[in-house]
Amino acid sequence: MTFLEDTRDIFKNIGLHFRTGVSYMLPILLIGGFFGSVAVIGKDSDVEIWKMFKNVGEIGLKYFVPIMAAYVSFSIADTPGIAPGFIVGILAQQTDSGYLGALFGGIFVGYATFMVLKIKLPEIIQSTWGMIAPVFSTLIVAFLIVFVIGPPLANLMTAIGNMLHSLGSKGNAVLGAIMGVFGGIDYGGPFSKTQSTFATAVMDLKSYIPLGITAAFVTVPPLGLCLATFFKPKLYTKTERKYAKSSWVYTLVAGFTEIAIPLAANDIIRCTVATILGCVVTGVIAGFFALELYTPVLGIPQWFFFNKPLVYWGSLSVGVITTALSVNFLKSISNRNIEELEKQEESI
Amino acid sequence: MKIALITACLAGLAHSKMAAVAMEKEAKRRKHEIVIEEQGGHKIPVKLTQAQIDEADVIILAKAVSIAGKDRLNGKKVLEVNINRVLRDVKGTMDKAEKLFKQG
Repeated sequence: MTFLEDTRDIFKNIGLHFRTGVSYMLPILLIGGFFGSVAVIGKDSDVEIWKMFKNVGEIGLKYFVPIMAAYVSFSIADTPGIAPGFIVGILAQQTDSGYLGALFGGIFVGYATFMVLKIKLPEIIQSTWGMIAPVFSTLIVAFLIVFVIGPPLANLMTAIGNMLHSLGSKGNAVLGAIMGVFGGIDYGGPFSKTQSTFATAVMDLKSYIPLGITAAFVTVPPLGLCLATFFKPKLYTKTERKYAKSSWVYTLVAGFTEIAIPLAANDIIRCTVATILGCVVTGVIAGFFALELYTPVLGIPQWFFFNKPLVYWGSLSVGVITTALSVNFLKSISNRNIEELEKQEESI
Repeated sequence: MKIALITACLAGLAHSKMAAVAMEKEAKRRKHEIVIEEQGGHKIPVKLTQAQIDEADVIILAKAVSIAGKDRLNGKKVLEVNINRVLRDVKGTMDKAEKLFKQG
């Protein structure tokens, strides 16, 4: 029964495999996005150096999809999975099923490679089986991609692409609101990661507004909660105030949401309501003014790659202030006993 | 007890570091020796040497993504946990590791 058990094991951990793929995908997007953004400065000039920047940027922004497929497959089948995954990923891209095709392709080909490698054969061919097995798995999944799952996925991807490109400023504002809820709800947990993965995935469809929205509100929760402690220090414990003083600089430099966790941990519901509000506000503004970002980077590097830096700073500050004010309001109508909490902290 | 901890998260920026710091503190409190490797997309990789892994009594994998270089761990006592679980319950994770060690 190991066959069924292995299958269950692989599909139970599908999230893990997917995240592994994304983890290896991010650096290539970063490199591609960096070069692509620098190339924008050179416009379409014919000077060699700008061409180089443009080319490298295009390579990065194109091949992040197969890299993701390759490492989803790697996560399932270990090293033998990389090559089939890479090939299937490129195949998915060429047959227009893009990111989704590559994701499913990566999962299937990883699974197929894992299973095919398990087949027991007579000693004499077993040693060469390691070389041949990935060929088989690639063959099976290539068929699947081209003839079975590819066409419907291609239609779906085209539909998503058309929808994203035809949203207009109101549609983008709604998109920003939805993404804001996801981004503000769990401080860099599964919901935020789903949302940011969506934003990077649609880069394959040449749609950069979702990433702009994400980047705009990613630092809203930590900055908002830090600012709140400066507005009304009395509502916070000594440790929280001390943490806020040092962490807002760190947030600006490094720029990720998780920094907010220690500030929210003691009072999770009120803080989360406030961060969702702030993220939604930022998301709506960023979406409405079509803020775009071409590189999935965080912190200071981000500042140079927005198409409209003013919109970024504007939406960020409005969101941060919203979060700060609303969290202080919610805390002031609660009966949170600061002295009690400080005693607890001292005892630890 | 000697612990080798490998943490891995999506970008390698936040969770892997937080888990590493939390576990290191807890290990020091209980007077265990601990060596740590962190992995993730944008992480500057710090590898444990094969000797460090061989010396360890228990290996803890705290992961949100698959660990690179699993073949280094062959034949060791390995505790696999979700990284979010580690962050929520550092003490519990350490308890589990100690239990695994005592099983002999």
